[in-house]
Amino acid sequence: MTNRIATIATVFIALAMCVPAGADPFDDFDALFPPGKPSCFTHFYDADHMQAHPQQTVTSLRLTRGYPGLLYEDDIDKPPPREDRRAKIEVIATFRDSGKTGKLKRFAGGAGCYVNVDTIHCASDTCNGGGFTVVREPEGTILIKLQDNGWFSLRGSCGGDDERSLARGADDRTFRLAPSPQVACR
Amino acid sequence: MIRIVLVVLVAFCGLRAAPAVAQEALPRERPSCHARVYDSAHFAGHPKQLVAAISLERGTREIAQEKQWHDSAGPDDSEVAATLRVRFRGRSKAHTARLVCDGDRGKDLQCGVATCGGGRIRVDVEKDAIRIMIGGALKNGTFIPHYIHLDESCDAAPERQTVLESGEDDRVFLLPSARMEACR
Repeated sequence: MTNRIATIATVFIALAMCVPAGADPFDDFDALFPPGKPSCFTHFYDADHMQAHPQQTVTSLRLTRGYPGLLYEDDIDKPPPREDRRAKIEVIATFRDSGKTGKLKRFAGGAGCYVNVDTIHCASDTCNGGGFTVVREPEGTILIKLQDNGWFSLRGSCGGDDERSLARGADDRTFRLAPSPQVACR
Repeated sequence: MIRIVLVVLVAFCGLRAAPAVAQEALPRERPSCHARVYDSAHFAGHPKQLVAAISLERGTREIAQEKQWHDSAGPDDSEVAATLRVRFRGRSKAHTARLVCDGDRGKDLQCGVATCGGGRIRVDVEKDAIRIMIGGALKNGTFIPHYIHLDESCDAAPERQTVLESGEDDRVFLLPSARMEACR
C-alpha cells in the first residue's frame, strides 16, 4: 500500500514538473506578480556579451514591482477578479552611452501589466508609449519581448523631454531577466 | 440645515486642502531650508538609524531652475526643485541628490532624482516642519521599502551605488525649518 501511494505521488510530482511555465497565463501572472509582494528581475550584460552583440545598446535592464506601484494597486477598494488584475511595474535601463559626458545615467518607464488573451502584456503608462510581452520561462527567468517594429518609452530625467525607446538598437528586442533580490532593482 | 451646510463646507475644504498641503511643504519660488542633525539621545531610541544628518534645501540654484521650468512649461507647471543632503553615521562626507518634486495623489509631494530614474521620496508638511518619507505601507500594514540614489550613482552596479534606503529606522524624517546656512 505504501509503495502504491509512493508511486502515485511520484507520478503526480513528475506530471507537475512537466507542466511548462506558460500553460496558463493567469498562473504565470500570479507567479510573476503576486498580490502585495515586490518582485525584481534583472540582467546586467557583461563586456563579452556586449561585444558579441554590437547592435544591442541596452547594457542593463531591471523590471521591478514595488514602491509606489504596489501602493497604487492597493488603493482600489477591493481586490479585482483574477482576470482583471493589473500589476504596476517600472522598467529601468542603462545604455552603452549611460554616464558618458553629457549623457544621462539611466532611463526608466512605468507600465501596467495584464493578461491579454494568452500572453502577459505590459503597456506603457505614457500616452503612445508602446509596450512589450513578458514570457515566464520554466527556469524562473522571464523574457521581455518587443515586436520588430515595437517600442517602449523610457525617460532619462524627471520632467525632461529626453525620451528614448527600450528598442533603441536592432538587437534590443528580446531580453532575458533573472529573478533577483529587491536590492538589485534599485 | 446648518449641519448639512457645515458638512458640505468641511467636505469642500477637505478636498481643497489636499493639494494645498503639498504646496505648503515647498512653496514655489520661495527659498527654504529644512534640516536636522540627530544626537546620541535620538540614536539611543533608534539604534538602527543610519542617517546622522539630513537637509532639504531650496536656495538660489533651485529657485532659478524653477523659474526656467515655469517659463518653458507655463504658469500651471507645479514642479519644484530641491536638494537633498544626507550624512550617514560614522561618516564625515555628505551625499547629495538634486530633486524634482511634484504633487501626486493630492496628498504630498513626490520627489525624484532630476538626472536619472533613481528612486523617490515623499514630502509633506507638519506645522513648521516637513516630513520626508521613504517607502510606504499597504493597507494590511506590510511595509514596501524604497530608496533614493545619492551622488548620481544610479548608473553603477547595485554594490557601487550610494543610496538612502528605508531601513528599519530610516523611513520617516521630521525636519524643522532652519536658516539657509544649515542646508549647506
